[in-house]
Amino acid sequence: MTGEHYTDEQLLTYMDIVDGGEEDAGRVDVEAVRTHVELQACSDCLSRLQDLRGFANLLRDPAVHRSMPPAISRPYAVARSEGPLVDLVQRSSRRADEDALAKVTFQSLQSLPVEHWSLNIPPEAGSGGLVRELIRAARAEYDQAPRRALRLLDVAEDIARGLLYGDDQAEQRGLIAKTRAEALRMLGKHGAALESLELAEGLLSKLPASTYDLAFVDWVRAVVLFYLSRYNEALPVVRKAIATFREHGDLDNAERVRMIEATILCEQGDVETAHRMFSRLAIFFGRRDDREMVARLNANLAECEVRLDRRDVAYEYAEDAMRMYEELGYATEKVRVRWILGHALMRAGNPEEAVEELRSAATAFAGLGMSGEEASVGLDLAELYLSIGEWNEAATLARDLADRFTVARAPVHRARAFAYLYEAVNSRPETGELVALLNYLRSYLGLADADDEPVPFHPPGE
Amino acid sequence: MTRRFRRTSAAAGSSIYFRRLRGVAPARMSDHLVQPDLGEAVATAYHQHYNVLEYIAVRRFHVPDDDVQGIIHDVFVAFIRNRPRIRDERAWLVGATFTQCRIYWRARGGEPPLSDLEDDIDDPGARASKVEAQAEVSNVLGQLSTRCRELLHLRFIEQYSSQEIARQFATTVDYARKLVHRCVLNARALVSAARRERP
Repeated sequence: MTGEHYTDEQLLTYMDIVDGGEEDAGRVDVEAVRTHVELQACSDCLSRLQDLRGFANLLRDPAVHRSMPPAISRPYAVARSEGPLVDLVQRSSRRADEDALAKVTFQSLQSLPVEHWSLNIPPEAGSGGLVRELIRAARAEYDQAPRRALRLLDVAEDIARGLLYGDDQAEQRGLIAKTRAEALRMLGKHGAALESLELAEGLLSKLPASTYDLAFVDWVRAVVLFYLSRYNEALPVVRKAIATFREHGDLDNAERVRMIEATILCEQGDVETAHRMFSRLAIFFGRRDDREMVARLNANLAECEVRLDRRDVAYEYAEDAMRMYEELGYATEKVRVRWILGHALMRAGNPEEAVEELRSAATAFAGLGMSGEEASVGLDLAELYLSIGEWNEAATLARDLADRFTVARAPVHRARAFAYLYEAVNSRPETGELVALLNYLRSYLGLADADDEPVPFHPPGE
Repeated sequence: MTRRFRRTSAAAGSSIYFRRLRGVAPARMSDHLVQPDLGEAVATAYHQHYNVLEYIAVRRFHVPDDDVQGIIHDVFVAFIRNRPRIRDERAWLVGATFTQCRIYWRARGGEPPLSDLEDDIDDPGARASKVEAQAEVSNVLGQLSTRCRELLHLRFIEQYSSQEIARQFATTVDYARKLVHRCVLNARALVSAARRERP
């Protein structure tokens, strides 16, 4: 012992005896070391002992000894040429230059209609960087203006087809195809979206080390399959993407995709498992202080609780979600939680509570000027009234909404759709027919609201 | 949110179904795409992590020397492509190298060697730290004397006792133990020095 502490050699001898079962040759007083380090917790000796134990563990790994025995030893440091690094730096610099120029070009294009962009891009500006810029612009818009996003992607495709450098064309065209699939999904064109994802996968597979890139394609594919209710196909795709993200240390994206997995399980009826997954995800994103995700997960948990017939807990989760959205300043998301809750209550057979939540959500959406959401909640309410035999309530609601959308000069399609519903309810058809009509209207309104161009309303069968 | 994931395909048309998708759609990479210092950042990452990636390819996956640099180059090409969305650079590079080594062997009709590190995927950051520490130790073992390397191999891999080592080296138990300890401490000092020098 030197002064107050044991030397590293003494600690190693202690380890030989205590950890390695070696005979105590009296070189070190084992009990004295144990008392000093482990009972009196001398922080200096304890820290060195832990460090030495960790180091000894590393030495127990055969892979670190591959150079043994000496006769067959070879250093693992393979002769390294500088050529690849030079190539990587050149690629990076070229990419950075392209991206910087693309920003300027993209800015200058903004004053023109998209249709004229292809003709107004100077040849020297038609780079991978500009394609990336266009893809980014399309991604920023695809959920609000999917057709415009598709037009941006057409411009990007024109440029990408002319790219000659290395893997540029495959990379950019692959990303375009993936983004195109996202826009097509918004327009309800799921078949075309899946085809576009096939193309994206084929192109991106040509790139060196493309596994990570392909996980993003799988992510979109899982979402499309989900929308098609092809849950059994979506699950393995989701799980593959999660495994790839985890393998690459990308836990954030892995857990975001896991939310889809949990949602699929919920839809398949495994609500308990989904609940556990949502709870774990809420903890994960809570630790990252991602309050938006936590709020969303609380809303999901509220729905799970309704399905598990634990309404009191459901309200608590919903309240938590709404409070968090309020704190974040997301007024519409807050109303959406009420809608989710109302819808879940309706599905779970609690009409009175469901009416209360849905009415409240519809009023709030109307107050926020969100007529698309108001219309969709209106359909849920109409379905609810019809399910409990309140024909007059359903008819009045449909008429009121048709009037409101007409007066408010909302897109004509909504007023026409509700006027059609009003007529249908008044003619008192069979319940099955009405349910089919409500689903048709839901589908129509969903697509029409997602589209950035007018979609005329046609009654079913026309 | 599960509300938008209703079972009926007709429900797929409702607006909540579409609009609430944001949280589950792939994140956008809008923030860091313009990277004027990308070349420098890539060069730094290359110098910083090359040894670890090389260790994975050579030691863990037994990739022939001639192919190692190619694999690592491919990993870095993918790194440049995906850099805007990579949060943990080291864990990403380690994971991508594992993946590429597996693909390398499968493309040649073989199965990649099983790696005890695969179990650690639950914590990719910890796996990257572990593999980095192993690479460091492996690297410094090459700098030790032949006798030291042999001693450490006998003690930690062959699990020789101090008595057995003493017999092998025709010396006393005490001295054998002392020799092993010196080699351990020497190796550890070299690792510490290498860490201090790392970019």
